[in-house]
Amino acid sequence: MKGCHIHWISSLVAFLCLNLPAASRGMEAADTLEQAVISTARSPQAYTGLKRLDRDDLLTGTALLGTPDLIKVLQNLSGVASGMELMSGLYVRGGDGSDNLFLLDGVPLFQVSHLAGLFSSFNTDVIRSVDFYKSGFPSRFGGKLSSVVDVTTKDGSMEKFGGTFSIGLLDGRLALNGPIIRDKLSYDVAIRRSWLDAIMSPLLALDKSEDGAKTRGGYALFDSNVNITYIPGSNDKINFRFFAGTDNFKYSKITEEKLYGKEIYYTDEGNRMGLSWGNLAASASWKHVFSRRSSLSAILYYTRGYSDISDWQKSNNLQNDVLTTMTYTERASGSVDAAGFKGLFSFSSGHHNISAGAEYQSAWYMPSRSLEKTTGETVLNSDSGTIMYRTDEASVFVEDEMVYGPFSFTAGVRLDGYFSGDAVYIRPQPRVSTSFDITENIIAKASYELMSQYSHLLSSIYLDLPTNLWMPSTSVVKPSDSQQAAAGVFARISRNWHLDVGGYYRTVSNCLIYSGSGSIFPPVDMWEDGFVSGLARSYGAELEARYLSEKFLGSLAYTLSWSERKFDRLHDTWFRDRFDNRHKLTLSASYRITDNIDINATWNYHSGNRVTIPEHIVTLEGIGRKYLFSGPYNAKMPDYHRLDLSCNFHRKTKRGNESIWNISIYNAYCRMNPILMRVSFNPESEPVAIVYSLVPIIPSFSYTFKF
Amino acid sequence: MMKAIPFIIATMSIVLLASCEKEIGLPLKSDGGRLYLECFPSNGHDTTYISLAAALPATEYGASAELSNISIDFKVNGVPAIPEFHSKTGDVYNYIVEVPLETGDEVSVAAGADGYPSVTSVSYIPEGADIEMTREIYNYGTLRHRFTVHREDNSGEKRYYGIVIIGERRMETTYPDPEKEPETEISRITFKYKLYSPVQPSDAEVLDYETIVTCPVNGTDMVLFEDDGGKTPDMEVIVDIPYDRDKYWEIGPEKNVFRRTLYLVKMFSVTPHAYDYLNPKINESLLFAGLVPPFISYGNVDGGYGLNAGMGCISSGWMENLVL
Repeated sequence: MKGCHIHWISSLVAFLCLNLPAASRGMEAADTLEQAVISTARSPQAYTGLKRLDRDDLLTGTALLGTPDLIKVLQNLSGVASGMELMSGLYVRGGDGSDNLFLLDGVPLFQVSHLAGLFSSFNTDVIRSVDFYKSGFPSRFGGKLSSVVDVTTKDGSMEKFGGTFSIGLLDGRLALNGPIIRDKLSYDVAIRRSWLDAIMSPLLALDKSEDGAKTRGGYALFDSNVNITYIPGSNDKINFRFFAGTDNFKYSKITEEKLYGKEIYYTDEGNRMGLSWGNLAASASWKHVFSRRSSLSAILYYTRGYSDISDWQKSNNLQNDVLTTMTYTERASGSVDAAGFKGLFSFSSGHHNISAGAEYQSAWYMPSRSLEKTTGETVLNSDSGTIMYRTDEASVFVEDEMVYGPFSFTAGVRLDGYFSGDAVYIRPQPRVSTSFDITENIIAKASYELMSQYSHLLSSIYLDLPTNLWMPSTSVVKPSDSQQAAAGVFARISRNWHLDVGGYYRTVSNCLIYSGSGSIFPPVDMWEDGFVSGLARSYGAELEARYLSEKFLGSLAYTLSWSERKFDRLHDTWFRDRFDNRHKLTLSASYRITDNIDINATWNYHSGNRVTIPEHIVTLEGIGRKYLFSGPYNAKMPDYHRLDLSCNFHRKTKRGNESIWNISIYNAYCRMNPILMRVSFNPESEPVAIVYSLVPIIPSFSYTFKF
Repeated sequence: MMKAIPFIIATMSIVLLASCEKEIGLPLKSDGGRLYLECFPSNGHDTTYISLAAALPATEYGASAELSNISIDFKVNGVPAIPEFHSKTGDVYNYIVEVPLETGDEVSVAAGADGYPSVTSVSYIPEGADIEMTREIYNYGTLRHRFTVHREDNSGEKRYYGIVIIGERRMETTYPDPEKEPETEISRITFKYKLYSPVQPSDAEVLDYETIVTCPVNGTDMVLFEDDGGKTPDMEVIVDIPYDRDKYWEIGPEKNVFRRTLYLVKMFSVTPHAYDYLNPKINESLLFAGLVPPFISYGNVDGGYGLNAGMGCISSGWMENLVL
């Protein structure tokens, strides 16, 4: 089971909230709760790898194509490599990008990106807060190795109707919330849809080739979030939530034909292609507060990540006045359906804050692939069929946070039992974290944990394509395990200056990489052969400095890191990983010029991503030029840097509504950062590297109206 | 057809068309050339070929690939044998060693040349492949060889095989004059193979890489293929070569010339490492772009590049031509 959205101290928060007078429970009640969380537990700064973001953190700053994005914000944090430009990659402390646990209100999501990774599926309009863990994982989280992105959406107002409407260059968003039954029942609904198909479809329709072929197609992304909140009594809160994030791409080019043979044949030929992928999630959660000291939270959920690719081609051959039709139909799809339950009981006594719970998840992994070729009456099938893997994960976890004056110590353990066919894996995972308030303004902190991952992303190309499949651990493909130790110091140097310095060392055993590099559609009955096991290690230091004042907010996030792999099938020694960016620096500044105008700037720098290119070349008889390599990822692409600027104009209307114009400039000085590289020979037959850059300066704007 | 690689490459092409490109020098530091060595020892042969060439740094490609003062040490189970220079084809220096090899033998090869670091490599001769072969005249112009691998273990562990078919053309001249001795002119024929498997997709469409390929080994094309780990009990691979029937080439009052063709089929067991090296599945365009995992076959030559791969051989011996 992939974790739960319910904070282990949320019961206390719920208690505080639910016992407030009804009148004070407005639409910001949840935010009040969040503040209460901070005041009742260790502050986020006292954890080694926790970053807490609120909605303003997501909306402030540059919005690419007018669309603010959670993952893009997380990419700016220290310890996180962003991978390829524009993609929603999240490579946390040497992770491989598939080892992040994404929770939307406690429900694990498998597919979190749109448009091949350009945007994430999280609609910022509904997000209340995000807890991002790089280390110091509470024991209630499990199932992934590198990070936890715990997204909590807001509840609808119990008091009054409200909402936002936004329109950007790529998409439009609408969010509405309000009471259904005052102080009892509320809703919060948000949708987001892209415009691309509205632009593409007419353009394609205009493309009428000479043979009369009709071209149709388009791409659309769609997100919807629904949250129904019910407060039956002063000690209870029930939520029903639904999320759907989908991408659809369709393309067809069909020519209708009239052929004269032994008879007149009315037929057509051409091709049709469709891709769809996404994630659905539904959950029901209940929080009950027994007393000021104890509470219970429970969630029941269903989540489904899926991808579906289909291709159809048809051609006609008129020979000897007889028509022979040839068709080619291929379909590749994959899905993971998971249903689960999680319960968490919390109570506090004296110096102890204890939480304990259990979690159970059943998942069904269903990859399939079929291929059919027909030539006249002859049919050739190459059908890998649909294979279903059923997995069960049961976990129990317990954690005790002990607070003795300035000293805080949290000891927890999570015990996972994973069952899939003949495969049984038991993984005890101790989690320890501690903090010590050296002075009122200086906190020393440390943590150590074990994590295990039971689902693996089968992806042979490093793009977020719908061809990627999630597959379970089996008796052949074993779970991946990691351990991490981290330590750091947080210092409030002055009222304005905050400093957070830390270091980490992390290892992964049974790190997996998919070797089917020749195929992005692996045969579904042979996928296990393609996974290769190895080791990973990463270590580094992170520095975050923040300057906060009434009008100015500045931050610096620097990472010095090493990320290495050892796969005997790849190389006989440790080698650097592809996103082993030695240095990474993000500088951000935000300045409120007036109450109505604020400006923001972010500068990103990191050492270049690594690629594998030939070090030697030999010319052999019968083969020609043969490229030779001394090791993987032996070269570094040029360094990456980029400046983003944005400006927000706020205007309040007489009715109290607010309109916001956001003007953003992505890559303001038009640095053509390389995204790909290839090796070629110039006219003098000298080998050269050609780097390709895709993203120039991108100005964009968006308009938001809050009511 | 929706083949994966063209699909990706088409996508990449669109990206590249929309992008701007810039030429830079290779981001590598040159640390000199290396030696490239190839050797495929197998049992049942007295002759083993060793090929040596200069692998130039990519940053200095185009410089001279000449080698001087070449030294090659060849040992079988620690006992040295003397390699002799055979030929130079292009930039490749070919040597031969005349020594019989048996299954289980350890074959070590070391080589050096002026200005290049020395290289060493070791291999072992594995057991021969368990392959059955039948052949037939498939049609007037095709001689069909059907190779069957029997496995019932279904262990999932793939095995790899190699096939080489060599032809020998004999022009046998006889004279009516009893005083004149018959003469035979012998020449070697190499074939262009046509390959497929009737039971296993080969399989560009399902796997996006070929599981039955040809590649040059010791100067001759070898058919390389893999089984499916024993899932198919009788894995079949068909290799077609051109068929020429034996016939009188010339009939006259002074001499008769009969053209006869003989065939030698060698079936090899190939180590997984050698198979990966000889049939690399990596797409270099995607690799250089950093879009696929770097599953590169490095060979097993320390200090340089190349492959020393023992192969277990079963030979059919020279076979007469089939009669149409």
